[in-house]
Parts: sequence; C-alpha cells; structure tokens
Amino acid sequence: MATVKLTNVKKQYQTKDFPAVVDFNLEIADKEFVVFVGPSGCGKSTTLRMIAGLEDITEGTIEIDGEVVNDLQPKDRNIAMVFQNYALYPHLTVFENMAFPLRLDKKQHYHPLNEKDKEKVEKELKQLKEDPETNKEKIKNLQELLEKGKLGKGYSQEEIYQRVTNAAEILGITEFLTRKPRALSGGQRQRVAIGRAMVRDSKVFLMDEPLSNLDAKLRNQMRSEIILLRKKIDSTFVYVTHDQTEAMTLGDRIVIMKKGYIMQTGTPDDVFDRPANLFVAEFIGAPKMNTFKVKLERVGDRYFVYPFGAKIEVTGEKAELLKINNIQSREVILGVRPEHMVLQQSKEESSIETKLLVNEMMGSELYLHVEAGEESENVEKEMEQKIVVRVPTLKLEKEQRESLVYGSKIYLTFEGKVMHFFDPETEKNLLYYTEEEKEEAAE
Amino acid sequence: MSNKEIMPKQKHMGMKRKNAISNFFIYFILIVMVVVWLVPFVCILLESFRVEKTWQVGYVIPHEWGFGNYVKLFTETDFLKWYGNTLLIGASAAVLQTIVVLAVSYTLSRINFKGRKFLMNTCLVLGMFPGFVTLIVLYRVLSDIGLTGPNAVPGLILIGVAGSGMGYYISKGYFDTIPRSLDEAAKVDGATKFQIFYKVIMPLAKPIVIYTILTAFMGPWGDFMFAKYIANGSSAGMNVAVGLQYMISSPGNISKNYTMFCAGGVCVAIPITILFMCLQKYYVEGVTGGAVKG
Amino acid sequence: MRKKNDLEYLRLNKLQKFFYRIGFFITNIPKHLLTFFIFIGKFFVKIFKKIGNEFKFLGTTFVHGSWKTKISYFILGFGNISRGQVAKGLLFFLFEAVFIFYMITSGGYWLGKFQNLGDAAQVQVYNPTYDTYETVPGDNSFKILLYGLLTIVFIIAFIVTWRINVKQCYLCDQIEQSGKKVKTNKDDLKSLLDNNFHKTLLTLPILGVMAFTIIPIIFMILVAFTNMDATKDGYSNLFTWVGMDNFNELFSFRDSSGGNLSLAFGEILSWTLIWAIFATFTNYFLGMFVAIMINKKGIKFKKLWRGIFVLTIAIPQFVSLLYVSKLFAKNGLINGLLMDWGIIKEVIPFWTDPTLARVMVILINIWIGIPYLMLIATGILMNIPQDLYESAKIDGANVWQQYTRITLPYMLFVTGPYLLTSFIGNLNNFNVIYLLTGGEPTDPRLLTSGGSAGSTDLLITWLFKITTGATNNYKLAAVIAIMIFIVVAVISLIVYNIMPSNRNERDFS
Repeated sequence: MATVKLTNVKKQYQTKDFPAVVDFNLEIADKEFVVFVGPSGCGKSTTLRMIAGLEDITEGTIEIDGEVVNDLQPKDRNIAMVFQNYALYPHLTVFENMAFPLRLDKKQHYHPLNEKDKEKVEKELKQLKEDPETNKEKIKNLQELLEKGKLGKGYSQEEIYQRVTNAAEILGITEFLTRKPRALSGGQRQRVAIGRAMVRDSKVFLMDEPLSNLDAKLRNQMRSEIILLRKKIDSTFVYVTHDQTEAMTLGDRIVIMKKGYIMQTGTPDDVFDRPANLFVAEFIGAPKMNTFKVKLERVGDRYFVYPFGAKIEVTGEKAELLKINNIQSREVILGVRPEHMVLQQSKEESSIETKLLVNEMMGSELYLHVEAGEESENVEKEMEQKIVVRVPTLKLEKEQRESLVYGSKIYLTFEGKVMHFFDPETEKNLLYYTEEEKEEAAE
Repeated sequence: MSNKEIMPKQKHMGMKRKNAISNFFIYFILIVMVVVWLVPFVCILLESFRVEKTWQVGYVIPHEWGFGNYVKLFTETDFLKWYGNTLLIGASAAVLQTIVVLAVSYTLSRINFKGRKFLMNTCLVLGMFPGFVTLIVLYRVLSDIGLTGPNAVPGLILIGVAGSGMGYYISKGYFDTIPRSLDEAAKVDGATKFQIFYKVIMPLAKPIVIYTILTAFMGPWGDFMFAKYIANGSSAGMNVAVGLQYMISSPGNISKNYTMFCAGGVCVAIPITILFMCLQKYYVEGVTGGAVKG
Repeated sequence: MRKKNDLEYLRLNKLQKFFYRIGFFITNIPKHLLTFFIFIGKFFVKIFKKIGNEFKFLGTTFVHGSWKTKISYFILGFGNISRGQVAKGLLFFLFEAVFIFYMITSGGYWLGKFQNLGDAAQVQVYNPTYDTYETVPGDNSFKILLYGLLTIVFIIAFIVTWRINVKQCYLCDQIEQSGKKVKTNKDDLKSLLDNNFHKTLLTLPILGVMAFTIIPIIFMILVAFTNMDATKDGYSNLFTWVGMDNFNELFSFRDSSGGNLSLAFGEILSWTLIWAIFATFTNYFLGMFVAIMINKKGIKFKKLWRGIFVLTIAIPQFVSLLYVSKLFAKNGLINGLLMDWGIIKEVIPFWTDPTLARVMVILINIWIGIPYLMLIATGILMNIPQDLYESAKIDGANVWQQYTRITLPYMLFVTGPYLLTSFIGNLNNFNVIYLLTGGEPTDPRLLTSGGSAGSTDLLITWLFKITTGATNNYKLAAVIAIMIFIVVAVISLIVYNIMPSNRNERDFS
C-alpha cells in the first residue's frame, strides 16, 4: 500500500526569477505507474526530487501513504530512487552497491524465518492446535510469525545475501556481483542501479530519466525490461523522462508538464486521442502533429474546414462533439497527425496541393515532408506550410515510391474524423470530452 | 597517375623531417633545462663530501673526499635536535592539519548550510591580510604560555594546525569534482551525513587525502618565517630550515660551516625526495585535480 | 555611449572591438560607482533592519513566551533543563556562570583600562633594606589591549549564546504549543552526525581560525592606531591610542627619524607589483611551455622528464634557495669558476647591483616555480579535447595558431582563479626574497624610522625587517599590513570582475 499525493506543490529556487514548479496537484494510486514527461526545464525532475526529499518544498504538501513528508529526510520516506547517471559507488563492488541501503537500514523489519525455526514453530503450532480454544492467542501469534517473520532490527548478512542475489537474478547481473562498477557497460550499470533500488521493500520507486544515458537499442531493451520488472515488483512507480515514447509505453498515467505547469494528466490513450491543448497534441506522437490555422465553418449542423484552399468536412464523433459544444464558425487551429494524412492520386475538392521536400524512408514507413500553398517570404507562414505525412511503405507501389522526389507534386487530404481543434488564442482544445471538463471550462 | 602517388609521399617525408627537427630542438632544450635544474643539487651533494673548508673555492668536484661534514653535523651541532623537531612538527601536522583541512573542505564543498558562502568569503578576505604581522601578538601569547624559544615546537604545531582550516581551496576543488548524485543516492539509501562522509566520499577521496598529508608533512621542512620568529634564536626550538640558515647566516660562520650546511641540506632533501617519489602519483593527481578548480 | 547589440558588435574589427570595450568600460565607471554606493547603502539598511527585527523578536518572545522562556532570559539554560534537555541546559548555565565570574574578577578591569591602555608604567623604587632599586610593575598596555580585546570578544560570544538560548526556548514553546515532543539530548547528539554534521566538522577549525588568525588580525589593526614600538613596549613605557597619526606619518613624506616613509612605501610597493607580475607570468608561460614540449607527440621518456622536474619540488626551498644564493655571491662558485676560466676579470655583482639583483631574483624564481606550473599545465593540457586540435588542423591552423586560439584561451579560462591566487601569493612571497637576498642591496634612500629597506625588498620582507629589526616599529608594521591588505583586496576585486572564468563553483560538478 503506497499512495502519493501532491497538493498545491510549488518550488521556487532562490536564484531564479520564475518558479520551477507551480501549483502541482496529483494523486498517485497504490501500485500505479505514473510518468512525468515534458521538455527539459519543465520541472519534472524537480517534482520527483521533491517527492524523494532531495529538494525542499517551497509551498504545498507531499503525502506518502497519507503521511505528510515535507519535513522528513529521504531515508525516512521509505522510497527508492534510480538516477540518470546511475550514481553507483565506484569504490564498492556490485554486491556491496546493492547491499548498501540494507546495511544502513537499522529500522525494525520482519525477517522471514529460516528452515529450522520454521520447523520448530510449525511443530509448536501443531501441538497448540490440539487445544485450539485455550491457546487461541498463542496460535494467532505463531501464525503471524510464520507469515510475516520475526521482527528485528536491520538485516543479517544472510538476509542481505538472499535479497541481493535475488535481485541480481531477476536483473541478470549475478555474474557481475564481484566486479566494480567501472568494469560494467552502461546497460549493466543501469541494472545495478535498479537492483540497488529493488533490494529494499520501498513504498515508492522513483526513476529519474534512467534510460537517457543508454544508446537507442539498449534503451528499447531496458524499456521492455522495466515493464516486466514492474510486474514482479508490484510497487508504486514515479518515472521521469523527456521521451514521449517511453512515457506512452510505460505509464499507466502520464503527466505532461511545461514550464512548471501541468498541461495534462491522463492515460496514454487520453493524452494521445484527446489532448487538452496544443502543447500536448504536439508533444505526444512522432513525428509531431501537423497544425494549421484555418477557418471552421458551420453550415446548419455540418462543419467544414478549409486548409490551403481544400474543403474537408468534419465527420463522425468530432462533428458530434462540435455540435454538442455548440461551436460556431470561427478561426481554429486544426491538428492532424501525420499518420492520418492520406495521399490522393489526383486533385479533388478535398485536396491540399503540396510540393515534396524530403522523403525519409524509415523502413516500414515513409515520412514525407511536404510544403503546401504558394511560396511566400513570410517565415512564420512558411513554418505553418510544412506538413509531415506518414505512409506505410507497403501502401505504395514501387514506381510510385520512386516518383517521390524533391519537387514532385503531391495531393493530400485527411479524413473528417481525425481532426483536433484548438483555440488560436488560448491553445486549448475546443472540444470537451467529459462533463467534468465542461464544468471546469464553464467556471 | 604516378605523379599523384608520389606527391603525398614527398609531403609526408617533409612533415616527418620537420617533426624530427622540432623534436631535436625540444630534446635539446629539455636536456639543457634538466642540467640547469639538477646541477645545483648535484653541487650540494658533491660539496657535502668536500673536506676542504671555506666556501669560495673555484671548483665543484672536491679535491679531497670524506664524511667529515656529516660526522661533524651530527656530533658538533644541534642538527639532530632540529631534525627531530621538524620531524615531530611534520608528523603532527600530517595528522592534525589533514583532519582540519579535510573537515573544512568537505563541508564547504558538499554540505549546503546557512552561512557557507559567508565563511568562504571571510576566508578569502582573511587570506589577503599579511598573516605574519599577527606573529607579534601570537609570539607574546605563546611566550606567556611558555611555548616559545626552546619550547617552540608545540607552539609551531598549534599555530600551524589552528590556521590550517583556511587552506581548504585545493581539496575543496577535488571534492567538487565528485558527482553530487552519489550523495543523493546515499541519502535516499538511508545514509546519514556522517555515513555519506566516511562510507561514500572518503573512500573516493584517497588521492586528495594523501596529497594533503604529503603537503602537510612537507610544509614544516621549508617553514622559515614563523619558525624563526618563534624559536627566537634558541637552538633547541629550531627546525632544520632555521637551524641551517642560522649556521651560515653570519659572514664568519659561512666559510666555517658551508660544507656542513650542504651536508645538512642533503640530509633533509633525501628522505623527503624519496617520500615524494613514492607518492608522486597522488601529488600530481591532487595538484592537477584540485589546484585549478579551487 | 550606446550599447551595441550583439550583431552590431560582431561587425567591428579587432581594433574597433578593443576601443569599443575600453570606451564602454570607461563610460560605465560612474554607473558602477553608483551601483556600488547603492549596494553599500542597501547593505546598511539591511543591517539596521536586521538589528531592529532582532530587538522585536527578543521583545515579543519575552512578552508572549511561556514562563520558562521568561526565566531563561535571565538564567540561561533554564528552559532547556525544565524541558528535560539537562546536559544542554547545564552547558548554557555554566557558560553564563563563567562569564559573570570572569567579568567580575578581571573582565571589568581590562575593559576599564582599555580606554587609554593603562595609566601607570612600571617605576624604579628605592628599597632601603637592600639598598637597591626595585622594579614595581605598573600597567601593561600590551596586556590591556590584548585582554581588553579578548573581553570584548567574550562579551560578543556571550550575547550570541544568550540569543541562541532565547531562540531555543522560543522554538520549544512553539513545539509544545503544537503538541509535539521536544527533542531530547540524544536526538541532538544524533543530529550532530546528520543534519548538523557541518557544525561538528567546522567547530574546531573555526575556533582555531578565530583564536589564531582573526583575533590577532584585529589586534594588529588596533595597534595601527597606537604608538607601540620598541621603546613604548607597553610595560617599561606605556603606549596609548594616537588615532590616525601613523597613517599621517606614512603619507607625509617625512617621518620621525628624518627618513621618507612615503617614498620608501611607494618604491617598495611598485617593486612588489612588478615582481608579482613577472614572477606570476614568467612562471605561468614558461611552465606551460615546458608542459607543451613534454606533451608533444613523438617526445619520448615523457615520464622521466616530468619526474625530474617534479623531483625538484620535493627538495625544501630553503636548501635550494640558500644554496643558489651563495652560488651567485661575490665570492661564490659561479664568480669563482668564471674567473678561473678567464671569462670575466671582475666579479659580477649579482647581489649588490640593484637592477641585476632584481633580475636574478626573478630568474631564480622561475627556476623554483616552473616544475609546479608544469605539473598543473600538464593536467589541464591533457583535458583539452583532442578533436579541437584536429578540427583546427583541418581548418588550416599552424602550431602557433593552435596555441593562441585553443590552448591559451582554454588554459586562461580554467586557471583564472589559480592565476589570481598565485599573484597574491607572489605579492607576499617571503621565502624567495628573504632567503635569496634578504632584501639587499640596501638603498640609502629607503632609510626610514622602520629601519633600512633594500632594492629587492617586498612589502612583506620590509614588514619583517620592521618588526624584527632594532626599532621594532610595531605601529608602522601594523599600518603597512593594513596597506598591503588594501592593495591585495583592490587587485583581487578588479581581477575578479574582469576574469573570464568568473563562474559558479558548481558548474564543474
């Protein structure tokens, strides 16, 4: 059981003009895996370090398991943490590195009984059970002893050995236990760091960009290992990363931050399909969402958008939501993900006429970077004219693929049901998906 | 085609030759420098074995060799006493001063507390005051306690250790290079600040510990100004530097004691040099790691 | 002068950039001065505010505090003892008792005399029984000054302790009000190894510096305002406060003995500065040069070369310096050899010709300093990323250009603070000058009330002569020490502000 609750948490460094974290509210449920994600300097690491107790909290409270921990030392918070640069003790062997927190721990713990004691207790229990009525109290105590183990201070060498070797087994680093960290590769060091966090029964696992020092291939491998690990450890996780892929694949819930503010909190599906604002929409998903400033027109109950002269009707759920939210004709920022862009053979009413700039062959997919509309001097405008299209390679014939060279004309369109609409001023999503959001907006 | 192949080869040869010439010059300069650097020490060594007295002789290699200077040095002067004094001061400094310096530099480098900046600035400002004028007071106070003249040794140790906290720059520079995340990891792992100090950081700071011990030990061998002032002409309270200088300081003494002075210099230099050679690695590490970052 | 923006600045050529920067610096001086004075003003306002707050805190704590706190205002440690922190409370109380005892028995006496540093010197009294004159000790100005100062320090310490005691009671009150338990002695002891670990580590060093550095410095600063010297030693003849007289003497181009102190000070100061500049930079560049030579690709026996130079660090300076000093003496080995070989007819006055002596001192300092600098430079040179040189080579830079464009800027950036400290160290480089020349040759113009000074004397060696010489002119020594402090402080301030590597200490970790 470990919940983490942050209420109105604020962090202001004395040397900085702007707060690093502003009014951070979040409740993390027991055994939940929450990921903080955002560009560098958004306050995600600061928040994590406040939970760990490595940074003071300027305002607000942090609770772990219902207890306010603002003034508690890290060691009294019962947390474990994995650092970006591993922070292994260079002078200790892998075994001693992992045993370090156990050796320091002098608190009361339940220690499982060894075989001999177990037999003894079981024997006694059997005897007692012959007369269950009179020995009720004793039986209960002994059963508890069998279940939880003996209460005692710190850990014995045998216990430390058991715990470390168990963790090493899970992480596949048993053969390195006698080595020093400097003799290990990056991936192995990362495992040791995770192992050191694992050996204790911590309530909360904190991970501060644990994979960002690894190369791409190792990172993918470690990512899936963390997913597996999580199944085994069964604890509450708070994970910080700047990589949206990591966030999407690992998190039960994702907290997207920008400049100290929470932009959106939600499941991976939530933040991908229903981004709260333009920032989230562009941050999640790769390549990033295409956005255009366009006119949204309401004709009766039908809606149309006009990107670069094309006319496309909004359909499906989005049209319904527009109606429910009672949106009238107006300027909007239209967002369409690259994978929702569709190539057309010839020019139609719904076509955006574009010119191909770059053709990136990614293997199973093609990324086409195209430019829409007339050429213009205006830099800002140009930015908006760039569109990225993501097409599965198999969808295109070989000749078709070969004809995609610099300057070739491409007709694009997209379906009516995949659009996102944002307010050009506030950059907020125009559609409210839930009743709560509506209420919030009404306020 | 063939021309093209030859061209780079010729150029290569040219570079090689140029390199060889510049290397030759470098070797030449280095050899000259080494001679200039070593000759005085060789001269001291040679003259220490010279039997002829008087110091102004126009030659280096003695006409007559002998150990007389050394024998005389140990029997007729207080050299042994001076040597013992210096050894005692050096050894105490190596222990006490190291503890003080490491405590201060560690704290200023790795613990964030109120007044840290203030302390560092105070040290900076205090360092600008020519410390030795305070000797007038210190001398008076020490002589009131009875730690001057023949009893100068404990006085020198006291003064040296008391002020050593201000010389934290180099070792702080070294501590600054140890990643801060190690402290944080240990903190999360449940270590107290004391445990972080002796279980995590100290084992990593071996080079700077040895460097501090080495410099603390070597300092008193060259310490002159303070030592001379506090010994106040009493032979029993001198260290080797003051003693040997005292031996040749007046014109009459110099011709009499010059060769003996050389012998004394050799006796001081040889053990220190051997010690230094053994621990050179740490010294270099300490200097290059700490000096520039402090 | 209008500040150019970055792009405009980039268009200027080197000379224009230089003049622009100079002009900018000069036109900005008034602004800097203004900000400086504003800073000073703000500082004082802050101090006064702090003091005001302090009194307010003490007052309100007394009024609103519990009865335990109120009693603690008078009996230190009462609050602690009544809350179970017996040991701590007793320490507080003991301190108060010692303080009161001291103030009654002797502190008051010293403080009373402190105003004019004693009024009765020792006198010779005729003793008719033995038919001799006996010395009856009177006041001792030196002791009065010293113990008066110590008493003041003690009073300050007491006030600080008292204030800590009040603050602790205040905190205890608050804790008790919130219904929590007050920390026990055991908790406090434990925290000395954890949250208060810095106090554990720093207490002794700070006390040491307090006792053996700060208090003596304050004492010497006080001496600068007295007329203490060899004759007025404090017991046979009392000394007393004289205000700014000593400073006036230093700047009045004439002193009590007919010498010219201002001239001497000016001469010695300028030579000290010249010496420090040369000693620092010759060592710096030549040391770097040697390091580069040894580091060059293709040079063999790198370790051996380095080892030989490093070896010379190990040999105590007094041996090498004294030996070299005798080597170049009038009838020393060098002159002897040169005469024998017939290269010279007359001895070269290495130490007796003022200019030659100065050059020799600088040269020999190079000999002493290069190994050390070489070590430091080697460490830094190895840290310069090799790809910088590779890209420079591809861009067509020759060896010299590589040095001026890459090596030197990098070195200067990294060693900026080191250069400053070694410059200050050289300003006060006692050993080299004293052991080599002892300040000689004497300069007749520099004969002053503090004794005579020589051409190679630095301020620090002059100071040594003044304090240890026949006149024991302590008051002058104190004044000069203050002047040295001012010189060093001003230089450090300037250098600190224009140094490129004026950066945060934590940037490196």
